[in-house]
Amino acid sequence: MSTAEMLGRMPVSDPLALLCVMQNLGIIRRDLASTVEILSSRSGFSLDRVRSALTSLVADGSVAEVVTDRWTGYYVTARGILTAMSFFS
Amino acid sequence: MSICMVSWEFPPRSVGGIASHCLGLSRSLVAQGCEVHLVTLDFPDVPAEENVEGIRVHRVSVDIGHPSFLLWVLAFNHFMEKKVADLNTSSRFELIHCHDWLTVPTGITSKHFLAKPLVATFHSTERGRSQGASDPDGFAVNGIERWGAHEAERLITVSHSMADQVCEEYAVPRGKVRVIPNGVDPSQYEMTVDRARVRGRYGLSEHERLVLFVGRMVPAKGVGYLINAVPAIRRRYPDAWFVMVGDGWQRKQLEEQALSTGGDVRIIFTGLLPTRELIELMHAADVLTVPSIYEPFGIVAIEGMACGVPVVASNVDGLSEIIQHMETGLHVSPRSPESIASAVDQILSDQSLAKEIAYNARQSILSRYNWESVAKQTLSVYGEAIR
Repeated sequence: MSTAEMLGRMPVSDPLALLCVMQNLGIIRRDLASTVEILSSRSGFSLDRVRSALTSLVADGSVAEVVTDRWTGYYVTARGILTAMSFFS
Repeated sequence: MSICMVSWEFPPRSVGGIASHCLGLSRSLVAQGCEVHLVTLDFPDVPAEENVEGIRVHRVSVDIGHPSFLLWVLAFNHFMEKKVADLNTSSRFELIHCHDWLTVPTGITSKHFLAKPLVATFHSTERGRSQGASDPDGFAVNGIERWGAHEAERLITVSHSMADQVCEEYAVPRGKVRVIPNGVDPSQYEMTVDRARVRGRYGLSEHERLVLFVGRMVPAKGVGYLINAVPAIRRRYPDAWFVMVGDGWQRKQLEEQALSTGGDVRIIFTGLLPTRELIELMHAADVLTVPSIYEPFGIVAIEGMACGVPVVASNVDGLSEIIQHMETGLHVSPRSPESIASAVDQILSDQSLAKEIAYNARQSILSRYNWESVAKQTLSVYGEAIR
């Protein structure tokens, strides 16, 4: 059972579940930013669910977006780390 | 004495009481002549190696992650263990001190690898945090706590209720458990505050009532029960404002709950605040509420008491020990909006009671909950562990 599935059994939203997965994977630096496809593969969420969750996480400042010519990546910000930690502490 | 402190959180990676505990304790141990190395996790925009007021802080990065929280914890412990072993070649630690289950694996491994005693502080237990809910990870965490409780030469808990929980849950002999409360630096909270200016930041006038909450936005803190008490308090005090300081995974849900209280919503969510701004807000508040349903200690309560704001707190766990009802604060029934509303009313309607409680509370803080005293008690426990 993946963490996303485990978290999915609890009353938490997709954005929070994805944020926790990203934090646990260590995606907390700009140079480690990961694409939607990678995040989908690691979290077990569909591409659409990941995109939707990321929209919310970027809007509230928990995740930052890195846009290059070839790809768009995402990583957890300091605020996002603290939010994820609050879920586990 | 050379001590290796291990914690998953240390400022600015601060989410609960462990970060401020480790900072306050380590700073006071340094002041008493100890060499303190603190091994913790990395955080954006802070150096990996840093001297913080004499504390040698080492932040490890976790090169292997895993979607599962439990496996991530085991992974970061692996990197912490390597760091402790590496540091020991030059520092020759005399004792390892870990905090909560999150760093128990590092504590146990280091104890055996370095052949040095282990002291563990339990700030909470899995049973308390989960409030009866259970899942496979929870049982694993419970097992790690039990393992740490038995491996440690001495176990420190932050309250007597925690000591009882640990002894009962993990069959630990009472003789190896020591109760040492959290502390504050009272001088940090002594300041003259321009109430009008501080309240002005949040759009409040000097004469409106200010009911304050400070803490993580998570179910254990009971913020939802305070929000449910708002309509009753507003009926009695239409000018009352409610300022909620803190952040956490439940915040959005609580903001939605606040909107559902109806009428002109006078509930402000500030998010996290800088320490000075938070202390100023505590000085400017009429009452601080701590509506937790699980609180092994309750450091926010003693921070409020140090600021001289009357505290209304749930009669649970550590809060029951910190606050003497009607002397140093008011107790309320946990999970009871009616009880919260009644106690807030009592404080807001009786200025002489509010002043007397605030005065008594501050005296209690000065005599019992200061870091110098906490560090001296901890040093005594270190001595027992080393013997």
